[in-house]
Amino acid sequence: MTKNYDVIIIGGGHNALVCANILAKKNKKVLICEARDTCGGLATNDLSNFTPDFCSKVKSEIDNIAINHSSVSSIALSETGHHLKLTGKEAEDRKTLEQLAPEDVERYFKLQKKLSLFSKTLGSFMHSSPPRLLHKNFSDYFKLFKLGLNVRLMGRNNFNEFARMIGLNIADELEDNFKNTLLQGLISHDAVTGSNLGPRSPGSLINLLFRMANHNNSLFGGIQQAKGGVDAVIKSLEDNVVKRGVEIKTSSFVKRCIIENDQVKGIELGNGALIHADTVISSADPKSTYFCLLGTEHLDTDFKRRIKHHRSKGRVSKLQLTLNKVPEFKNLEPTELSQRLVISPSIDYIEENFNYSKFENLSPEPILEFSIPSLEDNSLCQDGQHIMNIQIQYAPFNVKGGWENKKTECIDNVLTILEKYAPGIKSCIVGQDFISPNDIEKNFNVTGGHWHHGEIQIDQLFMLRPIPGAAQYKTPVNGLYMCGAGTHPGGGMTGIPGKNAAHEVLKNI
Amino acid sequence: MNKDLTQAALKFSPFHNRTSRACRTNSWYRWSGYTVVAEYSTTELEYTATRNGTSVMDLTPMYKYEIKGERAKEFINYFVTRDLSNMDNNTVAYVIWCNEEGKVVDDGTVFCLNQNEFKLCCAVKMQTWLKDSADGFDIEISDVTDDIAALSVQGPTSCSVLKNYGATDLELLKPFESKDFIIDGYNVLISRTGFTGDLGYELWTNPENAENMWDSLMESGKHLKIRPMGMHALEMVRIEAGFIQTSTDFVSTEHALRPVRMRSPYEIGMGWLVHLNKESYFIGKRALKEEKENGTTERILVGLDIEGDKPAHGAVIYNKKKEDVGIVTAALWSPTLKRNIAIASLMRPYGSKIKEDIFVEIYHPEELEYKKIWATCKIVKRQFYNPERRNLVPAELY
Amino acid sequence: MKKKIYDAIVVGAGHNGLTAASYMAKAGLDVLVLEKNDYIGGAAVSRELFPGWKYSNCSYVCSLLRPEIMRDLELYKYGLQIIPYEGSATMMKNGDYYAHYHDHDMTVKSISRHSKHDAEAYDRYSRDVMRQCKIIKPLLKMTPPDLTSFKPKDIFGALEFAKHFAAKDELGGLGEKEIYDTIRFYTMSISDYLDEYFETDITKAHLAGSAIIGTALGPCSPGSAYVLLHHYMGEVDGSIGSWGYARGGMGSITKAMSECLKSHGGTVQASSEVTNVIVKNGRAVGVATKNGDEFYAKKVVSNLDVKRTFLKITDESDLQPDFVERVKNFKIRGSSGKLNIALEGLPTFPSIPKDDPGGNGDLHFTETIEEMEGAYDDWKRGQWSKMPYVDMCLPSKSDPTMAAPGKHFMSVFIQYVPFELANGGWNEQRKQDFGNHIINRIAEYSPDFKDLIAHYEVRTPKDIHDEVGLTEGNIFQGELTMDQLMFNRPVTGYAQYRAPIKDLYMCSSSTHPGGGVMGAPGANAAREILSDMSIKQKGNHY
Repeated sequence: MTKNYDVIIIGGGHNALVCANILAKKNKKVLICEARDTCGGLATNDLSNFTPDFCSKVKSEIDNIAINHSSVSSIALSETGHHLKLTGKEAEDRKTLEQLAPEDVERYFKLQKKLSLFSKTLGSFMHSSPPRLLHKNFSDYFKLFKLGLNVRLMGRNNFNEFARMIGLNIADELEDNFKNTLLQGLISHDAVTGSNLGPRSPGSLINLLFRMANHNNSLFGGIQQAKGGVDAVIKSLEDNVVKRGVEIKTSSFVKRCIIENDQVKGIELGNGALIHADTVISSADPKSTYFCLLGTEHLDTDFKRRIKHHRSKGRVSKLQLTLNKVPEFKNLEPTELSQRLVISPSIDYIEENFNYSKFENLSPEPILEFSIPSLEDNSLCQDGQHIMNIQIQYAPFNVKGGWENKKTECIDNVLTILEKYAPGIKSCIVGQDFISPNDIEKNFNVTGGHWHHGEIQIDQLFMLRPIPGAAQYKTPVNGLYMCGAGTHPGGGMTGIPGKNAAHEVLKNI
Repeated sequence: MNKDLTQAALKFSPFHNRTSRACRTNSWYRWSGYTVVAEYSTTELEYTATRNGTSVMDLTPMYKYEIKGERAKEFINYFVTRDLSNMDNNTVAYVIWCNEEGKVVDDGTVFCLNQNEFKLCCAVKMQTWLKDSADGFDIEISDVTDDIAALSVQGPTSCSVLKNYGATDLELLKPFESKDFIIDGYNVLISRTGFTGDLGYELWTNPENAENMWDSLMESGKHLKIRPMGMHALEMVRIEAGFIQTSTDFVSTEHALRPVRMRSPYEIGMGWLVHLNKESYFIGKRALKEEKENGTTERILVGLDIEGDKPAHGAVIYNKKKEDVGIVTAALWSPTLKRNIAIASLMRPYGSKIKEDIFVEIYHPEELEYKKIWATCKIVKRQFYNPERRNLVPAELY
Repeated sequence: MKKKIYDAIVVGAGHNGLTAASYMAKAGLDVLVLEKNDYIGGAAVSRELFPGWKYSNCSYVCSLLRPEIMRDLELYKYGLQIIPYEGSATMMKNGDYYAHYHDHDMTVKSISRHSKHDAEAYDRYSRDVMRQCKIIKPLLKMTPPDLTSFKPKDIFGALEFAKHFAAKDELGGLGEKEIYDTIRFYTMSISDYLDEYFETDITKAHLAGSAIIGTALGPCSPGSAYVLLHHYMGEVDGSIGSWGYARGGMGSITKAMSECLKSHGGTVQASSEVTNVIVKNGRAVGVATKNGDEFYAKKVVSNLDVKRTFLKITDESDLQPDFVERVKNFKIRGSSGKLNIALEGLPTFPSIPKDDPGGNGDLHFTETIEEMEGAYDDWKRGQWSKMPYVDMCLPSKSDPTMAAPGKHFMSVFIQYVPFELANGGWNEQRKQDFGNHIINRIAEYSPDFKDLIAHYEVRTPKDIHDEVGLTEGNIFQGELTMDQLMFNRPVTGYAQYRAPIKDLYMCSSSTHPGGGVMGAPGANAAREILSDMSIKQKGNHY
């Protein structure tokens, strides 16, 4: 075995980098092994359009990252040209809504307030590892009690409403409140994006609350773009950990963990090299971690069953178009094209889409979220060109017929829709790059190609994430931890799983 | 398409033509989806055959699984709590296996056919549990329950019967060893194993040979007091031998509705089969280690020697006639030992540290009137009956 | 003359209303039950809609009715007898069939014809579902605690709830693992849940049926696994999960209940539609009926669903706007229809062998979850399902009282049918089209079926809504989703059977533990009312 480290982190995504940063600050000698030639994992400009800034609780624990985030507004496109633009700033939004959805104005702000309160409450659970039930551990009981108290402190009515909302679907809540279908469509989109839920599936509301908790507890206020894109954030995180003495090995695929007597001893790389450490943290998804890195001979049958049934099939594909000029969208200023544009005109539109995806079929009219970031940041492509990042939902993992056959059909569907809103856009295209969930699985080693390394649904959240019995960043094997998006509180570029995992590790070494 | 128009609820064993002819009482028993004989003539005579001559019992309903592949041995060693890393070809091991909480799923026997091929025999359906446990091992597991006909041939004259039948040099076979034979042109695997606590063998063959095998055996044992044995007599001999039985002395985790009913190996007297120092991991190891280290074992399975001669079926056990401390899981007036014996599950420290002042409350029927008896009892080893001939090599011949 | 003041008036003579009334009468109260229709029973009725045939034309099977209630109200004395199902089967397009039987070994044998793996997994599946049944059973009897209240009663109630899950006793005895399993079971979709056990479509489809009956959820909707439990937690003679027919049709349940009520001095008055609850000084003091009568009582108990109770027969001005809004947002969605058919003879289903007991229970022909989910997608679009999930049964095969010897009554339950059609409302033509659509579907599996029809009745959710009085024709009087269960049912904070108006109570299926011919809401409500009146019930098991 070669040189000794205190901690080896498998994978170099943002959670791994956050985790490494915190550990290195505590003088741990850390090695990061990343299979790809760059760090970042799923956090790359190729996949992510927008990213909220890290929350203060994460920021305060890692070294400062010098990135400018700018707020982005969300524009729901309408075929009639009456697009709905929401910024998260009350005065502006009020004006917009008074014009487009006068009946819904008051209810919108009421709902936003309510959801914001709930997402804040949820957010307060996010920053420590979830308690285990009945583990005769005082601190676990205390955590549960605190959690209950937090919810109760919202007041009797809110408590009741919160209890109701946990299992609610977003469509019901929106239909009870709003008349404007575009507004319903936009909020529903945010509630189901990245998930295997439709707006009428129970549980879609809690999905929205989770998203809001990561976006400044606001429906549309917390959506941000980083200068230089997500890549720049990663670069900055990477520079910081390197400064702290963390070693990063890229192009180093980790084949397996070495286990002796139920204790992790190090890792073996793809080329056969062995590296020793008594603590190994995997930022890979739960299935890869347990089935590939650890090996099932170290796990109990029930545990294996739970991992096997962990749902992690991605439903989002990505299309990047290179354009030779800025396309013209009906009733949109060119400057607005760098904002978050959403084509999701109604709840029924999404639900119909979802009907196709449930059984791995391709929807003829997918939901799109896109933007042209190069308008703001010309470093992203060649002079005179523009890139357009399009996120396609639902474009399921293992689509029936196989992606190799369905890719063209999917792109055609997307372009047909875009043509409706921006006639002539097809003629501007000079290049295209399509990434299906299967590509994500292959290229990024994420089983199922799921953004969040696993569905955000009640049975896979909190003390059940990724699976019950291993939701505290620890695995059953001593010294092996997890810090990826598959752990509590889940995906999104928040760094919270990485941060929480680092604390859990520090508690034990 | 294979529609079963008869829709008989239970399957017939390949010996059914023979067993049904031999069964004079028409008394049947449901066993794992099969119908088998409960009693052929009288239970006592069948019992005596095991202790005096040879008894033959249809074992076909036992669940049987074949485990094949390069990692088969590694898997078996991971699957059961016992350390089988040195298991030799043609040997058999008694094993138990647990779930992740360290509670017993079932007990059974593992046959090592060769280092890449094993057979598991047990009382509870195990296909899905085996398959899910084998996830990641890349081995082949198949349910061969209906593909193997099995007979248990037990008793002091059993070796002689089988030698007459054609099993040459069988007396040299040691306990927990097995050997392949070709008899009358068909293959039979004979293992020196059993559930009776006596000298005995189990025979495994293809169902198409079943009737031939039965006939030849009966012919071979004609002068050696051979007799078919039903399920009732089996219950008697196994209690005398102190063997535990799933669904009687403990509930499999696969069947327990209430989690509190699940038992760890230490609670059913199977601690000796848990090898915590086994080098590799096995299912439930972490939980069992914790249980052992923290001393959290709640129950104990013991043998009881009860005063009087009234069997204590389902009796409640008391300490000082006051505190309820456990229950009798199986009981018998032993005809051979002339002792009133029972297997009982007690709440520790009763049975482990406190062994005095233990009573059972027996309700004994006497012509429709129940008499309540407070009987004192002694806590003893569960193995009540263990004759020397059981393990002798070469085996006793007649 | 001074008007008589009853101790309690119950609005609606359905099984829950009658249960509540009977318990109260048994405790010595003077009880009046008012029913709008000219027959009693609500959705548990046997009606001779065609001479010679008895129709269980709404609910059609009995399993959920709590045995404790049958025992307390001595329903056997008034003629109630439950006949267990012999089996159930799903017919397949290829001419084969998939069946379950009353006998476990036979079921396992039958499943293994389709998949050995599934036959094995069935044991584990049954164990896990049975565990959930055991856990939920005592909860059915409990009044859900108000989690926000600091009253000792509620705090103890909440502790009781928690203890039930955590305590290592006979009832629950749940370990950490089982609690996680329970949370998962309550929140998962039946499709995901079954995927964890089974491999073949037919097994999954056969089992998933129970998870969608009566709800506006599809098999892929999270939360549908709980609905399965809701159908499974019933028992016939202590055998949990088994289903049966009420001898003489479902009406014999409500008939027995009303006989019980009468024997304890209570009165049932039909053809008296309550139009409003009379509220004086913030207290409910009586009701007024359509024919102009007024009845007064110390307690008014509504067996109407929560929407009808508070939006129709209660004056909005007597309620807080917040509460009214919550009631308005309570989801009651019509998703099921029925066909009730009088048959001149026994139709043959060639795919099921003659005399196979699997045919003497509920019959289906949905072979995949995907087909079921597709049926749900149709409903979401406001259409009746092109390939509906159908739950058919012929009670007359087991019950000699339903039709003359040799003749048969067939109940066909259809999932999904919307309350409102996307292309306009229901009319006679559409209703007939819908009926024919179903009859044609059945005829695909039974060639002689059409020729045997003597008479049939089509019931759309709209019909059930209008006639029986179940809003939108929802059989549970409210969706069984997480946001509307336990302390959230019907409205969070009002889950203890008491309405916000003093002396007004709720006892319908809109309250905990929910719908199905269970009687539990009625019995629980009666207990709360009697405790408010400081009357002790004696010798009851509920």
